Amino acid sequence: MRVYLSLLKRRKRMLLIKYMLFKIFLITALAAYYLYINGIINSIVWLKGLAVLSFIKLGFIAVVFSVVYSLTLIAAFSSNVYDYNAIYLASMTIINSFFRIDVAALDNLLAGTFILSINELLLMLLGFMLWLSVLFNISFIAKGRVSHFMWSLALILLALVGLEAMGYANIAVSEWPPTTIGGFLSNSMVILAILTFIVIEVCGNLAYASTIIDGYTKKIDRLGKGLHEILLGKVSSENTIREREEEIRSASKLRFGPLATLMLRGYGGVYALEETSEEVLSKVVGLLRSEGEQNAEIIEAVLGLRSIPRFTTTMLSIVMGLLIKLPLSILLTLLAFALVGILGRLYPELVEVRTPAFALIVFSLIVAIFYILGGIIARKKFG
Amino acid sequence: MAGVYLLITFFGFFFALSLYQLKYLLSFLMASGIDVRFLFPRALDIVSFAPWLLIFSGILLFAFVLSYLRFSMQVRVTLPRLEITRTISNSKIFQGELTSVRVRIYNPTLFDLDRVILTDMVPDTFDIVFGENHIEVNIPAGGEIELAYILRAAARGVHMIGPVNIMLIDKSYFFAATVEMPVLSEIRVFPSYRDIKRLEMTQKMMGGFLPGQHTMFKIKGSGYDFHQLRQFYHSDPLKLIDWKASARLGKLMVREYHGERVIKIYIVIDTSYTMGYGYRRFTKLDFATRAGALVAYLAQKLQDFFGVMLFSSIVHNFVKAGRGRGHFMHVLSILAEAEPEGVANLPGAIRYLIDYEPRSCFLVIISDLESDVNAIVEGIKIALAHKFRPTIIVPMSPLFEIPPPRTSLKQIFREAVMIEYMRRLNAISTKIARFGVRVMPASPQNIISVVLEAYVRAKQRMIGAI
Repeated sequence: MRVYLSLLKRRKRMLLIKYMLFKIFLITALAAYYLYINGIINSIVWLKGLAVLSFIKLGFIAVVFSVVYSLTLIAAFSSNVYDYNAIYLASMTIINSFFRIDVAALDNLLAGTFILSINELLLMLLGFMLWLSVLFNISFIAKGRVSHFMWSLALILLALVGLEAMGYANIAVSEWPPTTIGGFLSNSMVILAILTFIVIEVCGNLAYASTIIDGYTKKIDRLGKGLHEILLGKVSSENTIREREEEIRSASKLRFGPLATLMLRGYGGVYALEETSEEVLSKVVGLLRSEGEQNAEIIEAVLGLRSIPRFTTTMLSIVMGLLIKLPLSILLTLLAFALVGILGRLYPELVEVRTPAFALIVFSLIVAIFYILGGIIARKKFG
Repeated sequence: MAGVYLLITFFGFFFALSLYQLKYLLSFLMASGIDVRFLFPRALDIVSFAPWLLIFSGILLFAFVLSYLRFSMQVRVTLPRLEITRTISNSKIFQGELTSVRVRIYNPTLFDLDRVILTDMVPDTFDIVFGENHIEVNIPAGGEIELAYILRAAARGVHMIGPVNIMLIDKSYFFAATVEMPVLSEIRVFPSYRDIKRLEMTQKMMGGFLPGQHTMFKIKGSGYDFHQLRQFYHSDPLKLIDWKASARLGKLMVREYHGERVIKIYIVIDTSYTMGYGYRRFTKLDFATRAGALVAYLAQKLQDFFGVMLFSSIVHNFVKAGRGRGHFMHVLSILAEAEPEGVANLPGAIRYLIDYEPRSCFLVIISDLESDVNAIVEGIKIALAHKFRPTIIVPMSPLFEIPPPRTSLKQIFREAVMIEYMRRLNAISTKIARFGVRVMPASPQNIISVVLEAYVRAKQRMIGAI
């Protein structure tokens, strides 16, 4: 029986190594994504984003200062000190001893001489959005929810376009329409789209795989403990009589008085109304033993060892996704744009064909056609 | 989740559209004398992003559609073809016993199932004592997975395990589909064997059959087992005289033998809806079936004929009196099926019994007597008229249904209910007692022994003897 426990430990260790590897891959892929974004934008934006935090901190300290100042004021007045300047300085010293802040900045804020241009404020806001997207991505890494990556992506897009308009980013876009495939692929937005696609496909899958591993290690822990109790006996000391009574009472839905319980226990001399967990466990051992040759199989099945997720298939599906989905997506997008261009040339007198709204309609049309065609092919081929 | 994906795509699309609008907005602002170029010096340049943003959204949109196509194909093609088999180690068990359940899922198709949450539906009447009835896993093409768990039957009855609930989720949590596979397995749970075990243990410990009055089972009669020698009375048949003993003692002696007579007993259980009240898994009906199982066991041990009837407004189940191990198991299986429903109709049940059982027999009726009093009396009259000798065991409802009070207010309430209940029960008992039929009230604590006592009493007095 100890063989199963050691097998469990080995499996768990193996799974944990995979878990760590997947998380490292996840972090690396997202770091590459941010590296690209960092290459586009001016690095001062990150610092400006952090400045928002210190600005919020300053505001919080100002609130604390007002409380401290009022208390100091009361204390000073009650000891017949009426020097406002001294009280202000004393409060500032107290606050400084608490938070170790830039006293001059706080002084400026309190005195109303704090200078912050709209331009800077806007930059801070956009920088803060970038930091927020980082936080979302950390949450994506930790929790494995792709939706968090999506929200971070929305923030990044908004921040990037804003920064470009402000002149703090350098997004490379060529003139529309592109003349060559190379010209099409070298645009920042296309690269960003491909990177996003890769992050969704690769990181989404890895996040899924690590979530599954997490669930499995927890399951192995939970059931392994049960197995340990069943096969090797309880490690904890035997229950006291009181605990045992309590266990019987809680296990039984019908609650008897002490006399009734005594009568029931006395009846037949041995049996209590309900079995205690120990009795049930001993029965489980009996059942497992009675299963005979299937013993090993049933234990493996109960512990989930016979259904450990197949990670090779997960990795294969990632590769297939990248090899098939990505080129197909780019091709279909190009097809949609080519159609828009052709229609624009065919009907040059129409204003609508030159607007992105028209492109949107063509996109939707192609998506619908593609979906219906895909459905028909799938049904014909696989029933 | 799919909503979030699409949200980003359409965010990109509408962002692109608004960039065009931005161009007009900027020219409008500039015409009105508001120059925002100090804030956004390259505002007019970003209009050239618009088509590229459309590309960005387009790639994501098509990736989304491709993912959805793959997923819908999985749901349409792979899910219905999954082969699910469930193996149950023992499908007929006693209440409180264990059985192991193993579910095998085989994917014969060419497609992988990325993320599947499988749940084998287990009714509330079972406790899962080891393992889990659900698993989250991926099933590769041509692959097989297996999950197993151990169940403890907590309530008597015929229960169905299943169906298997399969939830297929896209790896990125974008889409989900749930399918129920109608794979069902029946487990028949007989009433608890624990009372029987207790009885056996007590028997062993006491060295006799039953403690106290229950030891006196053998009676005089014309059997083969020797009982005693006694003096001859004029009424004794001459063939009973033991001539050797008479010669030895110098007076006429008679040999007595133990009786070999057996009785015929029917366990008649009321399964009306009121019998289903009480605590979960400890209803009046559960106690009644346990008691019934015990009587059946005893009757089988003592070679008596025993049958069972479950009735409410109609007769749900009836097994004619018989004996033997096979018959005992049959009776247990009938007791397992008892479900509380309908209103008790004792006269109807007795008439039904008369059709199948023309001879005299002993009836153990277990009923809470909460139906029409006149109907009950009518039923008793019919039974007596056909030489059936009933004894009625009444589970006292308040004791089964109202928990022991913890506050004085509840105590008073319980007392009041009990007094009212006893008043009604006494009235019914008096009515029935006129016909010489015993009504034995029973509480959860003593119902087993009350039923046992009724049986032993009948056996001693040879009520319903064949």
